Amino acid sequence: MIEAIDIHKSFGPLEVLRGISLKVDPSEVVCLIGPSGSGKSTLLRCLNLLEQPDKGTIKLNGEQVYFDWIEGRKVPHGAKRIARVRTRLGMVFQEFNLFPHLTVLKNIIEAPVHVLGMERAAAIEKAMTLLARVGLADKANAYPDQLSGGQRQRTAIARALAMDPIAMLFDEPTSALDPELVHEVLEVMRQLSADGMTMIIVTHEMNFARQVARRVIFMDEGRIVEEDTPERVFEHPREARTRSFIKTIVNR
Amino acid sequence: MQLIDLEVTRQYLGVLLQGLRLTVLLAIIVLLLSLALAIPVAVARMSRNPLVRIPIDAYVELMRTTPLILQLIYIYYVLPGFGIKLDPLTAGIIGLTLHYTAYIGEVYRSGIDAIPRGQHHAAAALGMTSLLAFRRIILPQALRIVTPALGNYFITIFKDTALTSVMTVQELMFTGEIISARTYQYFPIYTLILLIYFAIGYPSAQFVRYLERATSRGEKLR
Repeated sequence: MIEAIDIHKSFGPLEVLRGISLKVDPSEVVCLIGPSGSGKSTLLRCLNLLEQPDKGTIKLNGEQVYFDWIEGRKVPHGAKRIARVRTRLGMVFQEFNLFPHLTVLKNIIEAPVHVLGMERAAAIEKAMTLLARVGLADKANAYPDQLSGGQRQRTAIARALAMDPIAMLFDEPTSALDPELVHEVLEVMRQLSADGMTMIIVTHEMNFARQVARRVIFMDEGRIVEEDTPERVFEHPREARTRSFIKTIVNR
Repeated sequence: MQLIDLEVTRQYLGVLLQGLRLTVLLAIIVLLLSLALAIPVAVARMSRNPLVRIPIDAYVELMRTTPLILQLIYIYYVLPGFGIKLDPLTAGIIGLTLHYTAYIGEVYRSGIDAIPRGQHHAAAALGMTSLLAFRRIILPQALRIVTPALGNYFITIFKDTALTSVMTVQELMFTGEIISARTYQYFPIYTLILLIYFAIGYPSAQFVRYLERATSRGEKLR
């Protein structure tokens, strides 16, 4: 369903992605793990073009999106076309990025109404359903600054789900949360995966990855080092680098 | 020579207040026009297209580096030489608006810059085009941030309406000049004018201070 082929990305002299290829099937949950700077977040952001790959292609359901390669030069698609593709992917950010001037409810209906042209009443109904699903039905009229971190992230998840995406991208969704608030967000994500959502998650939560992921991908220095089921990657890593990374995680 | 002369006050306060009416009207018109026109100016200043940015940069720098009074004199007294003859009030409105649109545009720009990049990312990830994101997400937040600064500009504009007296706009300052020249009651008239400007300006400044406190304490202006 989502395919990235030979992605390269540099920030100036720093090469962050050195030829990453990745394929995610419908309803699959894939976790990207690895040390800081390994390129996990950059890869994720390439999938909805928040970052521009220097080389490689991205495909959604077999269709090449965002740009074409014509005679070795990258020709980007039009802005509206790219925006339309982005509506099919939901993203949840480490810093939540809720819109502070809007209530929780308005945060959630904003894109469905103004991007998808949904009827406001229908969008509100859908938003209330989603809020109930993430356990925040009573917070519809609260503002983000009145919520805890866990509540903000759950709101962000509802906001992304309101667009009916075919897949959800999570960029370290719990890294900015106080430890006691992590659980409530992981619960929502766990339920989401049980409902069959395709998910690509950059995370440091190894236990979560173990329990929910069908596949774990370990990245280091811009390359995929190892890619396998959680049991294999965590219990019986093949590569030395994977082994030392897992060891530092377990020893925390 | 008295500074406050009750007889002079009784005789001329009415006329002066008529001048004040025009002062306030002028200030409000200029403020509203500048607030509106400064949005495209701010956007143009941030454009990556040099065809757009260079003329706008030139305009803003010209407004910021030359005296306002000179700009007003130019519009009213110099432009007729090029065939552009304006009545005083129109010239005053155009001159003040041209000047303050540049400044308020810079205020907007700083507000827009202050919005964290994460807001742009979230809007883009939800499938919003840059225009939609700007209209619904970025600009509303930027306006809330800069509201105290804009309040300060209202006070500044209010004071600078006095400069249009050089082009015979019959606002408060001009009215006072005429009366004092005719009656020779310079001290009482000008003191009265001073008090009138203060009577409007001081409460306005207090309100701006209230706005500053309200937005800084985290009681966000919704």
